[in-house]
Amino acid sequence: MNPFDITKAVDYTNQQLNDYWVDFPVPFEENIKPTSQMPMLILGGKGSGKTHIMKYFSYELQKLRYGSDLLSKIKEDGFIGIYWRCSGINGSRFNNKGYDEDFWKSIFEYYSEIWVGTLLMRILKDLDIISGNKLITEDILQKIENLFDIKPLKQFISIDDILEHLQILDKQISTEVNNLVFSRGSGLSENFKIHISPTKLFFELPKLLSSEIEYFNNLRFLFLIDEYENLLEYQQKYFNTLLREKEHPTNFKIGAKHYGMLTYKTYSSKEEIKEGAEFELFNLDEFFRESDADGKYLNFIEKICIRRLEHAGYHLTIEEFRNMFEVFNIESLNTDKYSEHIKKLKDNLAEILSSTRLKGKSSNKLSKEQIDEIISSISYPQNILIEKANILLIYRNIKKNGFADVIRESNKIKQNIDNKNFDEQNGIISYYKNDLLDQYCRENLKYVPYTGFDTLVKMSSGIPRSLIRFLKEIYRQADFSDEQPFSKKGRISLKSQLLAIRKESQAIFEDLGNSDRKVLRTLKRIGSFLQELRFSDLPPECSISIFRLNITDTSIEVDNIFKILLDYSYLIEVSDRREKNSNLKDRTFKLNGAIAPIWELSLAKRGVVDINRSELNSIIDSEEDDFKKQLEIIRKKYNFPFSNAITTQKTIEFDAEY
Amino acid sequence: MQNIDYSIFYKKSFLDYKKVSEFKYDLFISAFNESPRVKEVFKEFGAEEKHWIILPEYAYKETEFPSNGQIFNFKSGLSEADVIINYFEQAKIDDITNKKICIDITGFIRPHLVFLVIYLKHLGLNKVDFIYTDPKSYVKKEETDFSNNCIDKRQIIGCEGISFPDNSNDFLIIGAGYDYQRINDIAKFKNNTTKIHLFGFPSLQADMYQENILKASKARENSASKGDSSFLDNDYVILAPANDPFITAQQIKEFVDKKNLEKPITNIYLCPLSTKAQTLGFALYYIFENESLPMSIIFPFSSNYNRETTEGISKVWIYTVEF
Repeated sequence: MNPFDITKAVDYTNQQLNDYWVDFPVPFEENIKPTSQMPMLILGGKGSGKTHIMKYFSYELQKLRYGSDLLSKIKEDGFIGIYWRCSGINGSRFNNKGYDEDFWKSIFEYYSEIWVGTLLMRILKDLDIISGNKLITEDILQKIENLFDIKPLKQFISIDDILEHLQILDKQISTEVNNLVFSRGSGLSENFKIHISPTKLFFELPKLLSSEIEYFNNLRFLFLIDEYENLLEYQQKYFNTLLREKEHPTNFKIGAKHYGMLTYKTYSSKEEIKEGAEFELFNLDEFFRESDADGKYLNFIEKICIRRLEHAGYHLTIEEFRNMFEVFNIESLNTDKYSEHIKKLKDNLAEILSSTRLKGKSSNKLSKEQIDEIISSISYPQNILIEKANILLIYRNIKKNGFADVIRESNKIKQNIDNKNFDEQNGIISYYKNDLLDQYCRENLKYVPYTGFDTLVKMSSGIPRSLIRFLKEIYRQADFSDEQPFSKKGRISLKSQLLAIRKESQAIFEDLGNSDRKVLRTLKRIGSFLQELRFSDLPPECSISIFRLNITDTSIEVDNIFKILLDYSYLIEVSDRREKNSNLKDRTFKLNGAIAPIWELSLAKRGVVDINRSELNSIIDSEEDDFKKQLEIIRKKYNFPFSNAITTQKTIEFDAEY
Repeated sequence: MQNIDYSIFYKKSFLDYKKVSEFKYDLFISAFNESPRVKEVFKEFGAEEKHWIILPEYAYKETEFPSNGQIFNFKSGLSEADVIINYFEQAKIDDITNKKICIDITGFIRPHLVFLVIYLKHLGLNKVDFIYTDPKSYVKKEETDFSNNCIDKRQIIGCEGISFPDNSNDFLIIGAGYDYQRINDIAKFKNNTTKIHLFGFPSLQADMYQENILKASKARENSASKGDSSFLDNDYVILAPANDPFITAQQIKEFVDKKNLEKPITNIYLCPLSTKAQTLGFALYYIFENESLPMSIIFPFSSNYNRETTEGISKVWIYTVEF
């Protein structure tokens, strides 16, 4: 059984959610603050764990956690969690059909009351049974009945009567809404009545329970409203209003994807809800990423994995688990077999012999013998990083001085090697080590070595589900290759990891969810642009994956494209908090690590590439052929023979302005 | 639960599509697209009146409209309900409940087809014939694209049914065709459900079942509820003939009744993404069962659809539905 087969909290039963729960090193309770008076907006990318966390604070999981101590433990918790998944209400049916927003708002308000009443009464019923039917008296039932504007046909003598009444009303509303399409604008049927006014069950019922039943004194009724993105804008506006005007002991925690907040408006004199005043913001994946620096995120992820493995029958320590993943090690590679990088340099230099395109670059052409001498001078197969650094030194020299000086440079390198003086190379390696290694692997082995558990954690970029997905696919590949993954004797090969990452990166990319072609094309082009730079002969920066838009006054369209890319977690902002402003200037971004392997980008956070206006214009607006031309310009600028870079760059200063 | 046995509805088939010329219907309705299965059947069909519905999602220009039959063209931006209701308002069909009507479902886009069936019942028709023509193959086998760019996921209007707040045992039954991206879309939309794949088996042609599974499996990260291993597990799969709406409805019914007995189902979502014949089956199941179960039909709506995805004309089917 694949321990990572299930990747989504929604596919777990409550029991599984409880069994697989792993708390963060700083407990989630400290961040979610379930007893706080302040409502909270919990934002997170797809797979960041919102649902699991919100469900953890729900009554259903409180019940599983506390078993026979439920009543006393809930009192200790200080809250009852009422979990509401917005997708269930099927909000789109309360829309259009020839009716305006005011019409639908009144129906939706009413329907929401019925739903919240049902959710709350089901919990009350359960608590009442557990308490030995001591909580809900006839008097309370009567008072609940009095909350309704229209008396129910059958008097409430039990909670079941209330639930039955609510179900009848639910059916009435649903049927009415369904059939409106057939009545073609002639409105609701005559016998349709609204039985309860807004907020009677959201606010008044908790107040009643709190004031009339001792057990509920000082208990908060915490509505955990998940998947907010599934509500229509006016519906969110209504809930925002409830959040703004909440009355003790009701409170709200609202969970949404980053793109899920369609509005912050309310129906209260058109006021907006504001962070700090009406709600607290908890940005989940950002929180995870920020916790990456001190190892808390890694620690959390390791525990998740170990818990999964235990449930699947694999009992490993964290160290055993981490060591399961073979890590690419250049020292264990027989580097004598691989010389593509040397060949590439030789071919490049040989081109000088035959090329006419280098005219004017230098009057000094290289002879075949001279090329052989250069290659011999810089070759150092004992240490592939030194050898790669030597090549980089040659390219630097050519870029600076043309070909006049290249023989001298290669002789100098040779002399340094003979004297075991690697100062210059080590300077390069300290800065470009990962890039040299990745370039070497790409040129010789045809892959970039994304291997090892730490790499996977980096790739997850604060989205635990991404890591689970990679592990699921890695297990599958390793199992297929008979590597006995996660058994004591097992080991997960480089090949299994690489195959899985290649496959799953693409799948995650396709699954992130936005289908706007221009947005996706922009992302792909940014990826290609950075890839071109990273694997050039003289990369402008080390560990390329971060870019900055060095542009003022971007258009609304560009702002919107980048907002979507961020909201859907294709891009991750790496700017400091103080740099985050509403426009794009000087903000820095990187590709989500889970999709970075598609473009073979670095996972490190080091070099920042500036994208200028003409490059951005080309990325966003140009036709495919024109974008390819732009890439070709980049290629010439940063690759041997570096000759056309400056002159050509001038020719592509676009006239286009935003 | 209703005690309907869908398998007793009447159906017949014939290999030579030209036989439709022998029919004597009062009205024949078809949705225009490029498929010879649609155009040839329309040309030959024996009826007093023949209506083409031009659906906006196929993006036909007026110059591309067919020259035979009466044309009912609808602008983009209209909902499936608007198109169908507007059609009946424009067509002004007298005494419709006593007319002998046949509808070719082959060219219809699924949500329009579903609403059409619901609306026919609303209009009070007791009996309607539906015609469906099998293709010989899909143009690019399992690589065929059917729709582009999902723009909305929602319940089909008029099939919104009832939803209850308890979602602890919700089911999503997906008529799983080749269009795996739409399977992905709908599975993500109703992620908190146990997802059931309804596959066409027997398929329209022998190789299509295999192609279908290959294609649908691309969505399994989202559409397999209990991990990959559940994708083809018997507990999560319904099989029904790809060209039989009645057995499709019957198989859904039997599956739902069984699951409901095991543990009461809290909400059922139906999503027809397979053949039009099976789509008809989904609509019939909804019509006859929605009052007894919290149920709705949902769909991933696309802005446009490919005008032709198949090759050849194979068997022609007539299904007689009595409401």
